[in-house]
Amino acid sequence: MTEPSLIRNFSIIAHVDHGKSTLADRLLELTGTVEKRAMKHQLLDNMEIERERGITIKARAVSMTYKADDGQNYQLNLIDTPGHVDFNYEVLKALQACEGALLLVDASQGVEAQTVVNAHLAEQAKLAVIPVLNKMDLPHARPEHVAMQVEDAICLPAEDAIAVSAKTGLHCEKVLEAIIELIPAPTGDPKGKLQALMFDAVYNDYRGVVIYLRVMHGTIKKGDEILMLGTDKEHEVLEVGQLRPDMIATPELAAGEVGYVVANIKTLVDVNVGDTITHNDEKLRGEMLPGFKEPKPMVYCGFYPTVPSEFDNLRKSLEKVRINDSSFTFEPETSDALGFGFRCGFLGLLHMEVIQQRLEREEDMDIVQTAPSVRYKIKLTSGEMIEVHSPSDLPEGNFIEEYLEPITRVNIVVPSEFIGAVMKICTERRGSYLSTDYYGKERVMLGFRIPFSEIIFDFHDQLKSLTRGYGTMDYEVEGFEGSNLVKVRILVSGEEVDALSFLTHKDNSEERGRKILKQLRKEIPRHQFEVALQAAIGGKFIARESISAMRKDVTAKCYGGDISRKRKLLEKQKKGKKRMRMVGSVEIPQKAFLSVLRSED
Amino acid sequence: MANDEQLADGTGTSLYVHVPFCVVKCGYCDFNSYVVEEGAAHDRFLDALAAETARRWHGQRPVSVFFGGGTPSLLSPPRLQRLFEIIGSHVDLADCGEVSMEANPESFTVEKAHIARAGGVNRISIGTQTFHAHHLRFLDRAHDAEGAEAAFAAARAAGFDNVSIDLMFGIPGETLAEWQSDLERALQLGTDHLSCYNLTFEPGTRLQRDRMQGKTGPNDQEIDRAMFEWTRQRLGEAGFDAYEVSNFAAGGGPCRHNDHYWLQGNYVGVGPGACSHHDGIRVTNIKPLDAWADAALAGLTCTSTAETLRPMQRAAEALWLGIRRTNGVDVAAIEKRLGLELRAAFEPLIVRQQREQMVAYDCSMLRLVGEGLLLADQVGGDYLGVAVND
Ligand SMILES: Nc1nc2c(ncn2[C@@H]2O[C@H](COP(=O)(O)OP(=O)(O)OP(=O)(O)O)[C@@H](O)[C@H]2O)c(=O)[nH]1
Ligand SMILES: C[S@@+](CC[C@H](N)C(=O)[O-])C[C@H]1O[C@@H](n2cnc3c(N)ncnc32)[C@H](O)[C@@H]1O
Ligand code: SF4
Ligand SMILES: [Mg+2]
Repeated sequence: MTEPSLIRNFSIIAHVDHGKSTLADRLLELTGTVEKRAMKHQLLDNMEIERERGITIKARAVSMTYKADDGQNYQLNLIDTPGHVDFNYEVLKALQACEGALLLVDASQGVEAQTVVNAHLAEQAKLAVIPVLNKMDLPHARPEHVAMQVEDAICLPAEDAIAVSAKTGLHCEKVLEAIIELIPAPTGDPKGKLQALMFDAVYNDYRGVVIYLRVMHGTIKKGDEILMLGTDKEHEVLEVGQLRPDMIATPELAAGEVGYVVANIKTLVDVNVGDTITHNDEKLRGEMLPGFKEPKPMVYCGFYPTVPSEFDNLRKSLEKVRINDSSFTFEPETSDALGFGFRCGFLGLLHMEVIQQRLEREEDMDIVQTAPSVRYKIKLTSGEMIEVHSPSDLPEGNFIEEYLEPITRVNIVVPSEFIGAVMKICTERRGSYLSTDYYGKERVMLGFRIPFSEIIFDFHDQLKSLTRGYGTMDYEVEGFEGSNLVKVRILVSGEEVDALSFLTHKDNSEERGRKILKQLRKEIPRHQFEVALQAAIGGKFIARESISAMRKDVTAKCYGGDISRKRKLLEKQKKGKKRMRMVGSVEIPQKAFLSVLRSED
Repeated sequence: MANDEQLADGTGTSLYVHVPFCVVKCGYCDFNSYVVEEGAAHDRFLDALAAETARRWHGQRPVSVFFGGGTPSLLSPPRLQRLFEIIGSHVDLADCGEVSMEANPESFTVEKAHIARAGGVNRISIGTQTFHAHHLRFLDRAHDAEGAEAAFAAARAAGFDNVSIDLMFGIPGETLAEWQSDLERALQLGTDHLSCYNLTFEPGTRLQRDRMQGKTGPNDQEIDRAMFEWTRQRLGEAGFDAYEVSNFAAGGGPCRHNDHYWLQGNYVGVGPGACSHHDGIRVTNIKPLDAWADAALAGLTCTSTAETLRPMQRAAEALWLGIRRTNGVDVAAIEKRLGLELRAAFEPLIVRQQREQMVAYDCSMLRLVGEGLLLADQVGGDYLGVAVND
């Protein structure tokens, strides 16, 4: 057991890519937790998909021992967090397990939207926040400037900021000393009643569920009978230990410490992240901690197996992926065009992409994905309120009293020269302006209310391109509001394709209908007959395109007898054809079902 | 002649010799060719070619020999001579029914024509593409129309009685009238054979890159169709036999070498990136010039990839290739050659294609008709599709 006064628990928080995971690397190195030769870039990002994309998706805890300048050995528990807005929930959980946070800001980029949001989350959790300016090795780093922005945006005194380079290691040792000095030691009594916060849980093939916890009061050790207060389930502790970063068993975990517990739990369905763990013995039983509520999926799309007979395998794969990520949901649905599949809910578009890739990589599933849609609410004439996750779930028009759509509060941080551009795209997207905050002289945060459906499509890309890459954004769903929505149906050769229909605001319906038809025109190959594409609201057609018949398809030659190449190409096309979906006699390639996502003309 | 009999059913083996050098890289071309300085690189290529040919050709009599490229005519006179000596030391070129060589206008001279003739070449194919200056420029060609005519004359002057011209149609912006005038000019030269290729945007070429950036793109398919149809009509009137999708023969008869490819014949290809085929095994040589030469000079195999076709795949390939020939493909002959029963697998498809009036079929000969000719890749692709998952 480590004296609580010799423990420091902290998270690293920042905007995407400002260097959190890289700073974690340096701290692991400086404390000798990981040997230099075993080191690799962003060591804590150990999921395949994290390494491939170079981003953090799940928060990671790691314990280190640090011999400080005062000669004492401290236990430092670090939690690296993701920066992307979709994974904000991970930050929230991490902060609950800490007394302090390092707020990292890229000294060449400055304060960004997620910097502000994450700093506020840390403040709300009443943590000590240490500003750290990173990437000082870059020639265009402007630390004084950025420190001023931090002071304006987050009210942290500029002179407190530590300027480092996580890449070269410059001044990273100062960060360790600041942690000891500025972050309070955990309070809590190792001899008290057990109260431990489960801030995460992962599934391990060999050990089943591994619970990550922060002990607030009391002590937990192997052999203890524990009780999960939220789910009211009892378990026997098989092992406790610390993440260094591999699991290293310890005799016990006491108040103030962060570590893991293995308790013979078979599936993650049996645990609730945020739950409080205590002793089953009533004499040692503690109170429930506040915990946190599971985030609700905001974006939905359909996943269908490429080959219809794979439906059961897709279900198994979804269940497996969910083991490590309970924030996405799925339920069976059927489509005339695509057959049997699942309606899946995600925290955001990146989350959707990540799950889709995990299904492909980890589970080797081939899937067709339909265009994402937000969650709508519908007030029926009967007064009842229902939720729809898919345009095909809509009740008959005459039962609908009112459509409600989710509205977000969007914060956008840009250099002030781009204010005009940002105003323009936000109003074009039915946004209303709320606020302006200046950080320093030339950086500004603009607040808007915008319907969520308007930002899940290409909003972020458009923001980036209109602000030459400088604009960053953050959003939070604030509630639902009545809206004039219509369902746009898409017809191919006169037949409705349910998987392509979508809900949209009436004012946008024609334009979106036209764009989708244009995109479909590109993606549906020519047939031996002309293919008509139509968009309609109810019985009224709002847009039309056609794909003229294929009138010529003949290879001119096979150079120098290179028969194989041409044959393989045709064979590949044939295989692709087998994967197309038939609507009447029209073959629709699977990626056409995502047409709604692509916006370029 | 024995060779003619061999031709009829695709038996025997042909030889392809790849000369991988060009004066410039044409914007549409994805063939394996390099723009290098004349000299050591050319000599090293010839050394390596000698080594590879010695390894791979075992003195049998070829059905045909084809010197292709790249640009064989770009080699200097002494090197060109050496090329024929190298191949001639393994093959009796004078005894071979067809020995073709590709020649480009910018480098083909009367002197080189004489060397080719003396070396055993009996057929010249002149890469002309178009007679229109702006189209030649667009294609990055290193010659003008007059140069093409001079090259043709050079071939004749050296005594070649079988001279072919390669033309291309469907160049972005090209009109039907322009294509018609190209055909007339080729006819006026008195060519013995014409290849008329519809321009294809090949991956990795400058043209394809420009297309991605929206700077160019294929013409409307109706224009390509009109050119294709005009070509068959006009050349038919001029007494040419449209013996294959893109090829037309007058006095010189079909190009046996190319015909051999469509008949799924065996061939050995030497040179970097050259392809070979032997009874359902298709192999491709190492593509980069230096790597290929290193392997050849070290006495190692020059092959980089090989695939063995499954029996049904081989049959499907035979149908796909053979159907391009105007005479069609003999299904019964393929069954016999491969020892396979094909009817159950392919006839339902063939019946459908007959109903769609794309093919004619008399239970043995299968050939393209009507629209089928213009949709040959769909018709042939369907055969390949049958074998995709067998
Ligand atoms: N030049 C320079 N580059 C850095 C520094 N720190 C991090 N980087 C680079 O910035 C990029 C992002 O670094 P990460 O550590 O993955 O950033 P992150 O904040 O963990 O990103 P997310 O977890 O996706 O939010 C990587 O390419 C790093 O190599 C630094 O001090 N200097
Ligand atoms: C590979 S070239 C080699 C012959 C010679 N170097 C020349 O340029 O003529 C053989 C012929 O293929 C044709 N060809 C090459 N690339 C083509 C393309 N992308 N589309 C259509 N035909 C093409 C040309 O007509 C060319 O004459
Ligand atoms: S078309 Fe002929 S000359 Fe032009 S690059 Fe290709 S091989 Fe060389
Ligand atoms: Mg990270």
